Amino acid sequence: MKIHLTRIQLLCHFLCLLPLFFLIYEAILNQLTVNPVREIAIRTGRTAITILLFSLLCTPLNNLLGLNSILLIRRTSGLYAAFYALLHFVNFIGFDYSFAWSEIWGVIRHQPSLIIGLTAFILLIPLAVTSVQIFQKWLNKWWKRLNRLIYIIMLLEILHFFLAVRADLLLPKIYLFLYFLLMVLRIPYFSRWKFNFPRITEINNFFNKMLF
Amino acid sequence: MKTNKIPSSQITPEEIYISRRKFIKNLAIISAGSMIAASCNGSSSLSPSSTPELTNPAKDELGDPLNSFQDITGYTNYYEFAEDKSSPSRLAQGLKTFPWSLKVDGLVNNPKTYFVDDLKKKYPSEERIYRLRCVEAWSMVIPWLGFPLNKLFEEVEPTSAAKFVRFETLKDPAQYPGQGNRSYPWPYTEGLRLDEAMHDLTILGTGLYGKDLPPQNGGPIRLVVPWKYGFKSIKAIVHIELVAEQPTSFWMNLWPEAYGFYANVNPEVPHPGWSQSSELRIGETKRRKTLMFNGYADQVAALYQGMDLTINF
Repeated sequence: MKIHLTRIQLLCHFLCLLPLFFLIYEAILNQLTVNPVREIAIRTGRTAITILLFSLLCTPLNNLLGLNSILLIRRTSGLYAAFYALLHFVNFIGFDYSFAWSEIWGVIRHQPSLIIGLTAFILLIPLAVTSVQIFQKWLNKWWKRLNRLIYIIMLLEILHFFLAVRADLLLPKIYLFLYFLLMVLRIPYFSRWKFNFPRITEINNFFNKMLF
Repeated sequence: MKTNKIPSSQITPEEIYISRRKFIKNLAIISAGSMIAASCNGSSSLSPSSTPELTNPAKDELGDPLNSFQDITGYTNYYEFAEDKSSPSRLAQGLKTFPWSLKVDGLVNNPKTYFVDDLKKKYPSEERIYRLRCVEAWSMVIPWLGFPLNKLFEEVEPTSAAKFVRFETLKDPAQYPGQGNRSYPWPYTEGLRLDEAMHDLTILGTGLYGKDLPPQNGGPIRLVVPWKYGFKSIKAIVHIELVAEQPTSFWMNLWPEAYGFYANVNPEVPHPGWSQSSELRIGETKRRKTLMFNGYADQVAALYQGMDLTINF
């Protein structure tokens, strides 16, 4: 099997792995503050939400600007979002609560914000698993329907973000705004809008270049 | 006004005092030794390390060791500087903490403005080893220096109309970059009921680990109320006002459903985002159970007799 990699795919892998690289690098140097568990929770959580929001922006960006190169990284970025959500979850149950299951369940049960986060994570699993092409063909039109869950997952993650911060709501507010913008762009009237910028076409061609 | 006396042995156990004496003595020997060594090899560095390394770590009254000076001064919540916990240590170094005046007025017979240096001379520092439980579910054990707030109140004499105390931090965006963020209700304010403020555990902190209070920890003068979440212990105070009505605090203003007026450490009342039933002691790897009133129930529970603490959180 021959692997093709375009410039935009390489960029996507690079950018999505960067937060993990910094996390590991700073962990080795013992720079994740004196409370590394909290630092890991904040960073993996933010990264998961940011990448997921980006993956949802891919389709409208293609529709509006004809930036079809971005479609090549829609699935990859979605999978990275799920990966960071997994790290966030494992950090919570492992590093934070030392796999003390009864305590973890006791804490989650009474905490709507954690139930919301856990639901988002559980819903992400079937999407990640069925992202391979075999499932895509096998599930056919159901695959598309299943993947619409992502809009619910995104909303749950933003809600989880709102509840988990101390009171610094700026970032969650920005994400919620972008989410609504995204939903508006899905309305047929707007999704038919097309803009043609020669510069965009140039960028698109650049990113579509095969590396090997 | 009734204040609950607690035995001084519960504040700082005798053996710790003794071990601290030994430690200071050792430090003196070491520094004298290093001075001699320095004079021999011509090095210009005469002072020992500015960070006291406790070889025989002191403990709180529950038997838990103190957090290190580095932990305490390197991990702070100080939104006037930044929203993360590492940069205040760097950004706070420019804060002009001398001279610092503190105005005490409102419903008092003798309103007065003090210089912090005069206050320190007037009320000798006591060492208080207290647990600090942050609302974010982490905690530390800190050896504060300070004096009971009730000593100051003896002098200003609250009138019978005074029921609450309102505290205010300095407002100076030129020194506090975080105060440029208009989404917060600056200046930081806090409040206590008068009997809470008069309690013997409530101190005005002016130092830690035997030194002046570092600016990132709220220097030159801050409140320390050990049975409440850390945010109640307001930093860099410039104004204390005795009032008749319950004041609104900074965090109540921002999110009243999450941050109440009392903010007593209570494992039964969760924050909307996380559980308060357990906490991470900085320096440990496993969570420990959070204690009611942060372990000071014997001394302070009486203040809240008959109150529903899930409503008055």
